[in-house]
Amino acid sequence: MNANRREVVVTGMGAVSPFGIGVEPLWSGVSGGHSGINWIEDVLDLEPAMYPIRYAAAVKNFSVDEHLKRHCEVRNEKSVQMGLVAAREALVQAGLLTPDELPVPEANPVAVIAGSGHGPCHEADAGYHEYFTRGPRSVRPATLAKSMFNSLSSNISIHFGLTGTNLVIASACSSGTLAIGLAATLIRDGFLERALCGGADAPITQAIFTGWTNMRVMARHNEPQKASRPFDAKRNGLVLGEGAAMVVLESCASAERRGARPLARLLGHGTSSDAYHITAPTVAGQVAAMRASLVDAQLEPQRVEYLNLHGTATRANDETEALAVAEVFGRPGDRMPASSTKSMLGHALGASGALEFVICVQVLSHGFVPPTINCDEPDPEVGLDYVPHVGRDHPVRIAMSNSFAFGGSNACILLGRNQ
Amino acid sequence: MTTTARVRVIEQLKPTFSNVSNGRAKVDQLPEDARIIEDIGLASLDLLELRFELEAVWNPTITDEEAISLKTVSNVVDLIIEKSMTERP
Repeated sequence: MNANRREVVVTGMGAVSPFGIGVEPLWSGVSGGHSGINWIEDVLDLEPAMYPIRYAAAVKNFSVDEHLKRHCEVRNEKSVQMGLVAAREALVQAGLLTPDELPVPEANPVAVIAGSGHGPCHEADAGYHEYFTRGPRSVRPATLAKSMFNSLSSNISIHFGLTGTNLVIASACSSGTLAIGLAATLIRDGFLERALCGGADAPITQAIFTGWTNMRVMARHNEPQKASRPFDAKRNGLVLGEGAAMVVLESCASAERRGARPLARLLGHGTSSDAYHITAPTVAGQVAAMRASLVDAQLEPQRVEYLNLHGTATRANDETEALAVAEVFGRPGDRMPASSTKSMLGHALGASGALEFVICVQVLSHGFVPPTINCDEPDPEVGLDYVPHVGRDHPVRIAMSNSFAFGGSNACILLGRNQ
Repeated sequence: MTTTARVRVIEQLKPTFSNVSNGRAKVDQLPEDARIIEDIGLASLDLLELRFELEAVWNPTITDEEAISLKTVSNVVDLIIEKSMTERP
């Protein structure tokens, strides 16, 4: 461990979620216990006979041009468009953008480290569709540039003129948390001064939604708002979601120099790999990631006062995660409320960890923990306080967020309230 | 081809140029002597995309070489008119 590590703070946040554009609608939605899940037959062509599930946590009526001042060249790729809009909000809050959406003179180099699970899948979908229906001569030449994975970080860098490190992390459901954790580590150890980091995903395309449907991990319920039931005895799968969240991290010294107000502190980041199975999780892998983040932050488990669970509502994830949390934290009861905001936001894959990071910062700021809705019959064995149905006041000095991905890539992050 | 027909083609080219450049191209005015890259603002990759848009709107068959060789608005109009004359059934 680097003995000269620097303190890292959050100075800006932005979000695009099923609740709307911005951090405030996101926080209002999850703190109020509202569901962002609804029918999507107006978004996708889902023939009832073929699709038993026709709902998702979609970002509806989204138009990138309404939320950016300068012309956006990304026309069809929703994940990148949402990433740009979330980035703008974060950069503005951090005081890094001029009114013309260009970097202020002292901003650069700002790194862009963004996570995505499915990447620019709308353009890839369109390209494959053209190839298989109309042949090789029909595939547009710009398909490659539009569908490459680093389209997300590169278009953010291009649009806002950010000249630091530019890369994408693709680790399925932990991509957003890994991107933020990596950026924090690089700042802490002196490789970067400031970074825009987070995640974006928009997997609600015909082909990908069909793939998730056929995988049979998606929840089936008559009422969309009741479909995502993390840690409930009657849970039967996840609900697909979409969105984006971006945050500005920088060294504490940088924030002080610029006069930027810290919103929270980054305390630690831990990762692990299950090294076991491409979809099945393991208790050992999740325990290792949580413990690694505690070691990184030099904290005992009992110091954590809120846990944002990965909590996808699949039988396998929630059972595994509950056992892993119990192994790390014992039976913390209401000392450490632990909720899954995916009960309201669905699973936004690579964006989920970033959205949940933003939620954790809000938890620290507001002293209020969001609920796990639809958790009617929580698993009694573990004894976790899932904050069922309704959020509540609960002062939190230190929060942890869990993200565990297909592929066995586990990531946890620890945040501290601003002093 | 009459001047009126050329004007009509140019009007149809405005959304075409806008689409291939993702809205970047300056299409308010399209004088025939305007250069596609320098004056209108298309990039070289946009010229390859232009082939697809022209084929979608006017239904001619255009080669990559023909697309890349286009320099001015007038060149594009000439190509569309030439193709529509020769390929008309």
